Amino acid sequence: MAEASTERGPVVIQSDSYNKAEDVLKEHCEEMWKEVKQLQAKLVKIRHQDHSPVTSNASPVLDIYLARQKRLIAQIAVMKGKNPSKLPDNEVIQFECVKEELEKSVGGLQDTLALVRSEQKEVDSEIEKEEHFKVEVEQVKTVLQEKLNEALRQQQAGDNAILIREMQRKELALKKHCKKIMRHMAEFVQKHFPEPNESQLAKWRKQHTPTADDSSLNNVEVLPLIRILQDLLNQCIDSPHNAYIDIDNRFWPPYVELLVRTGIALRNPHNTQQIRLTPFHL
Amino acid sequence: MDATLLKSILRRFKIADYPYIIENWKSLSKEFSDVNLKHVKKADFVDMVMKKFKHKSNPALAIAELDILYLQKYSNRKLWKVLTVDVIPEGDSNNLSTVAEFENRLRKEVRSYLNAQVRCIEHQNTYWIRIAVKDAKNDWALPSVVYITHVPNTNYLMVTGLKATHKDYVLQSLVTVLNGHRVVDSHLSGRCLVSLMRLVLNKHSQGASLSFGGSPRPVIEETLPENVYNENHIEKRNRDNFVAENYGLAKLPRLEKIVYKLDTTFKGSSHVPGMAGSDRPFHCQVKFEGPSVLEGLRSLTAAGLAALPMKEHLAQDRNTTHNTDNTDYDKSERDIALPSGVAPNAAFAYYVDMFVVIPMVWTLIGELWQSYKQSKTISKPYSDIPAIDVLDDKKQPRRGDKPSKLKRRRADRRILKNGTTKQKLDGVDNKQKPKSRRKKSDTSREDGQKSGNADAKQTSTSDHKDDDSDTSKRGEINSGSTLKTGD
Amino acid sequence: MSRDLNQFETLRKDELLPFNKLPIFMQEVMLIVGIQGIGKHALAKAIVESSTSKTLQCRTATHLPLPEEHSAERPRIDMVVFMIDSRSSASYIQVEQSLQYINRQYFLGKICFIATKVPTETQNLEVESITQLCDDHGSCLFWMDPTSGADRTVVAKKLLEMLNISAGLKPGITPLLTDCTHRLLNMQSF
Repeated sequence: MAEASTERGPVVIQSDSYNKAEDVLKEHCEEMWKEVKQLQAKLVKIRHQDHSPVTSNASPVLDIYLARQKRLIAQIAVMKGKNPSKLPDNEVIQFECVKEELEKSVGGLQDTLALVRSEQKEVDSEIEKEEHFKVEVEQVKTVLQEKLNEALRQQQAGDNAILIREMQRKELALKKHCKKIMRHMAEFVQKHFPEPNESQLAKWRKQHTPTADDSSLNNVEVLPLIRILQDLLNQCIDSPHNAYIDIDNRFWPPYVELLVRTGIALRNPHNTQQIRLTPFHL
Repeated sequence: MDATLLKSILRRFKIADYPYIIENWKSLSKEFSDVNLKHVKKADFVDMVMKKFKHKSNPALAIAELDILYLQKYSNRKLWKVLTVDVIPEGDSNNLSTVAEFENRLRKEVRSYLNAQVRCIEHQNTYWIRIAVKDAKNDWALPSVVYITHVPNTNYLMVTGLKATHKDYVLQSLVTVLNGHRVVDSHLSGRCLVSLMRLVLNKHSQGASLSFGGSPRPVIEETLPENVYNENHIEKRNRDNFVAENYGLAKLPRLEKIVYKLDTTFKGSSHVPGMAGSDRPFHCQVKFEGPSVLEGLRSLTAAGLAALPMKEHLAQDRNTTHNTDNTDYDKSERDIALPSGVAPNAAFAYYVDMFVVIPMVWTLIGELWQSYKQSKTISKPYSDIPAIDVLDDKKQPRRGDKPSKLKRRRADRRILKNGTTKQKLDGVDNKQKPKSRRKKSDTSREDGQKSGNADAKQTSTSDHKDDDSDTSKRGEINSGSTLKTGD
Repeated sequence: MSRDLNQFETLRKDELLPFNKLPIFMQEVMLIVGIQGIGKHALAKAIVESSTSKTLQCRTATHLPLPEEHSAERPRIDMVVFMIDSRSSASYIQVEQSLQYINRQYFLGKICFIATKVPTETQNLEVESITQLCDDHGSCLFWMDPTSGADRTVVAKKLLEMLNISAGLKPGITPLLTDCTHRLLNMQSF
């Protein structure tokens, strides 16, 4: 309570001194204004006397530089002669001035503090992220190290038999997998794309080859799609340099078209009677 | 031949114009009612029209209509000249009230001289006349077509495409049909037909209501924020008022060219001693050119780039509705306001580069106008010389010549006009032909007079583009042969 | 002490003087000179918008000397800005003529030139002539596109800074200080 009263106390007491301070400031301003007016009058007089003529040559830069030099010398002289002005003696004024300065600097510092804090937060979050990353990288490093050690060990052991056994094991597993897939595929294809029966064949033949000789075509056994695929696969794997197989009568044209249109097989651009499997593995 | 002509006319249209054609082409409108115009190509449209055209009984009429339609839409592609017909003030006995009558009479007249097709159409209270003259020698050639626009009950004709060979006949027939005395070149020509009509029909609008029939546009005041203050705003306001008074507030009609010609003695001999004592007439020509010269002059004035006295001169000239002005130094009664010899200097100063030739041109022109004003004492020697006949050797009327059948001389034209030969040589109509052939560059005839002025011939450009003006202007000081003329 | 004018010196009655009037408290006044239609009002608006001071005044004129009607009420002018259109020689000529009416005291940091519009091949002043003019008068030059709002604000801010200094509102800095720190545009010695 006592502290509060003492805090409020100065405010009440100092209203008088505020008025005094204002008066002092006003006086100060008046003095300065008088000075300004005097200087102004002097300037006007000089102007009237001197007329400050404007030369009409095209490049007044020399005159301007001379004037500038004069002015600079004058300014330097003035600044040298003048003592740095100090605040008027009134305590209140000085107090208020100092307070204002302090408030300004405090405000500035607070802003800086806020800024610095936010920056710090950002930096902290970055550090966290980096730490996470570091942990992961360390894990990767340990795993890699293990692998490397194992490989070295194996090499050192010089035990090819183990390697070979490993390879064989892998090969068997893969073969089994391949066979399984092939079987699935065969079942699927057989179910959905069976070999065309007689009626279908006949209809198709009538549509597309009206003038053909019936007898020659009837003898031909039309291959089921699965056989076509098998042939294509074999040819592709066995002789990649010449992956084309000839289309002959056994290949039912609609199936060939199906393969070509879905992109599974490609025609030989130089020879339309040849097709090959699209190299999916390349 | 008809088909090719029709095709050529059709091809000139743009695809966007096809609805317009269908609406307005009366000859073929019935057959067009079922036409679908979406995404139609030019070739298709032309074929379609040609098919329907084949069964037409009167192809010439259809072609003429289409041609006139094209012209109505694209009248700014041709250069129109305005002619005035001096009408004999007789009673209304021959008053032609309908287009058909007019057309018939005109056709009769024209047919008596030329092998031509005549077609008249009335559109928005004006007659559009198309005269297609077939060439006598080459029957297969396309006809040379003259288009004339006439506002009924006025004296004015707007003509384009008139060739010298047919000019006399066509004009004579028109004069007869309109009960005229003779036809006079109004010295007014341009590309924008509407503007020409506005200028000519609203000749007497002047001053603040100078609008030539246009509607005034609102004045836009610039609002400045509080703290901005224009020091010259009084001047600006005065200028704006002056412009409004002299040029009016409406959008001015579009003229492409204004030409001033001056013919006087050379008085700049202090600068060019070689020409001292020369009594020969000195020809000057100033040409203003641009998309819309009047608007440009107004904007220049509003921008403060043209000096005030000169503006009055130009502003008043709008009332005389000429766009080629030949001033005869002999005439002192002209209402050109030139208060002092200073006025032209100021305006010309902006059109000629300041640092080249200005002193000479200033004094030259100042002295020219001085001499113009003092002209009364000097006028005598020149009034005796018939205007162009001495100076333009090409265009002399050869009186000894027997008039050949088709090529009649100007002398004969005078006979036609009122049955008597006119002896007066500086009547205005005499000057039509050579003036209409006036080209910008000097012709070889003026060699003798060029010497003193060779270095004054400048084509200098200083463009003053204002933010709110959309014209660009060029002024040229040329020496070209000019003609004395009374107006 | 008055001296006689020699034949090259002329007395101009209508000169613009920097110190002929008393300053008004916290008021800064700028004068923009340029032919009509060059963009003075747009620039003035940009300046007024960029400034927070309520006592800023921007005056525009097409030529000097200023009309005499208001010379009594006109406040003291702290800074003069000349605008030249690099495509029009008329604007250059007008600025040149107006420069005759400026007192030499202004050239110590209270004058600034602005050139607008990029010169094209067909219609231009020589850029050299503009820079020569600026060098002749020892003042700085800005380039500005009067149609671009961003340009206007940037130049307006710079001009405001200069104006603050010219009006004396920045303690410790005189216009001469900024003036001495600018360098020549054309490296020619006279």
